[in-house]
Amino acid sequence: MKSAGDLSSRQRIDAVLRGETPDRVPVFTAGHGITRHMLGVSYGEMVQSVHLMAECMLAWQDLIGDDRLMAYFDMMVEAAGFGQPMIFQDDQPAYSDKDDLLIKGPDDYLKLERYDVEQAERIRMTLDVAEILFDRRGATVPVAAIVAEPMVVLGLLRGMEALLMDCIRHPEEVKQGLEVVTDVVIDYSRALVKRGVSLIVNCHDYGNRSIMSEKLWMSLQGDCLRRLNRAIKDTGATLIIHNCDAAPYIDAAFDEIGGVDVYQAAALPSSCAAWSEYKQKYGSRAVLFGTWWPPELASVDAAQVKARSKTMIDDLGQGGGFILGPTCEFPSHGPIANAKALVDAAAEYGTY
Amino acid sequence: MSDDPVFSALSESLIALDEQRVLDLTQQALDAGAEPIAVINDGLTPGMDEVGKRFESGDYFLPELLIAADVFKSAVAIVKPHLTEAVATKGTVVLGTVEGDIHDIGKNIVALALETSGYEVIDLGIDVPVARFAEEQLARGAHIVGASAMITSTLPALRRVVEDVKTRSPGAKVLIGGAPVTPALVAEYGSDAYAGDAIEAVRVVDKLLQ
Repeated sequence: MKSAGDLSSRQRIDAVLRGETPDRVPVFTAGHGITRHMLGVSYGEMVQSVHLMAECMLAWQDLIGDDRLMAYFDMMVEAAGFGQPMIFQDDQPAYSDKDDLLIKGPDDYLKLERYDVEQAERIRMTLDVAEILFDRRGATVPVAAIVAEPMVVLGLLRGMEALLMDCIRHPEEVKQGLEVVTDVVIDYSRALVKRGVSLIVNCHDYGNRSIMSEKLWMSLQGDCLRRLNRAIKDTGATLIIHNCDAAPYIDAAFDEIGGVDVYQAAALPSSCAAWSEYKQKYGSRAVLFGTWWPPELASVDAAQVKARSKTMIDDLGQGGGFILGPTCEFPSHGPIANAKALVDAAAEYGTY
Repeated sequence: MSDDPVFSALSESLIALDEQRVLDLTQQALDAGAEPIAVINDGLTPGMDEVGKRFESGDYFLPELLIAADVFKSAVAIVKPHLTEAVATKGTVVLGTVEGDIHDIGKNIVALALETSGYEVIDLGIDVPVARFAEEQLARGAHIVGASAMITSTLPALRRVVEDVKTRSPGAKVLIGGAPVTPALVAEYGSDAYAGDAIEAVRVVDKLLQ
């Protein structure tokens, strides 16, 4: 039996991705907003400063022992590069100014132009954070970054309700917009990898039954996502797909889009009744990352986190292929001790 | 669905999301002398009800629901000038996303679904201060308060909304919803009901007002 701590986080993740059993179950806490407490700064301050963002993340990793570092500000960076005005908040993530959306009508999708990601301020800031994290700790801890599903970017430029209606009323315009956004997201992904990012997370926020039909999702965006995933895989990076809502279209993600190395879903696909069934069905196809529901992580105590994590490790960690963590971002106002408890549980109960 | 072929066609066109045909048929029905209120109650509303059923059964999704509600509202706007008396509402609902939370699509869709089902909706918007829910409920004499929280960090504000409304207006019913909200929180927070989506919200509000 190996001892927890025999491997660095990078070695641990690499082993899991190769289908081997590492020293222990790895942990991604997915802490982002919460890391502002490391330096006692506000959300708004943290996400407008490369220095603060990088230092918060490094301090979080020091304290918690997370097996990855995140170079990430918010879901707005690609949209901001198109010129979308943003509103920053003290205590929550930034969001699009809904009174000043860039896409005001269907014709505006056709006006979107691919831009130079290296010159886009917030993308450049993210690249700078990635570079700092990689330089400071990349040898032992992999650096991750999140890129947006192209439809998410359009939603931030158009407003989600209007976009959803446009998907049926003006599909060709939406498709053209998606193509341009996909080009940008690919350029962004490549730039991230050049700065040392080895784990790229793509969020399929629209690819689930809470939002639209699988047929509509794939008909509008399937080609774009195939192109994006191929481009990410061509960089040599690991592709983590996150799906943020109920009944994710996992079979489409695996079979029709492809390239998935790690899958993190906020909810079970409709084909599975439990995560153990998920592991049996899909465990050979991609590493499972989860399965803590974030609101629960915010409402239980550290002892309960450890106890329930043990159950998850026992059920899902056998033979590897499992990364312990939340199914979405760690609650930004949650107890920090609960993030530490995830890592403690992996060290205590997750040794292979 | 109505036996009247005009109203039936109106319902079917709405279900099919045939926007122009819904608007044309609405105008044609009025031109032919149909009772304006019947155009709404026997033509448009049954169509919207069926759209809601298809949403619940998984045949329709948010885009279809949003378009149907949008077309419904456009058609009602054509009818409204012809109404000789105000359409009776089923009740008044004060709706908002709690303070600290700027997510609005779920709340907006609930508002649309309630409006197209015959409720008057007072939409307070996003990031609504806790006290304002009770203030508006009292000022408007609303039957229901609907409060949404979409992130875990705003669940405490949701709880305070429930407590505030129940303290200041014990007779008012409080409906809660949002991504991190579960049915279990109904008892914990002291609210009256939970809804997981817009169509369920309509059904729950109907039930609360029975």
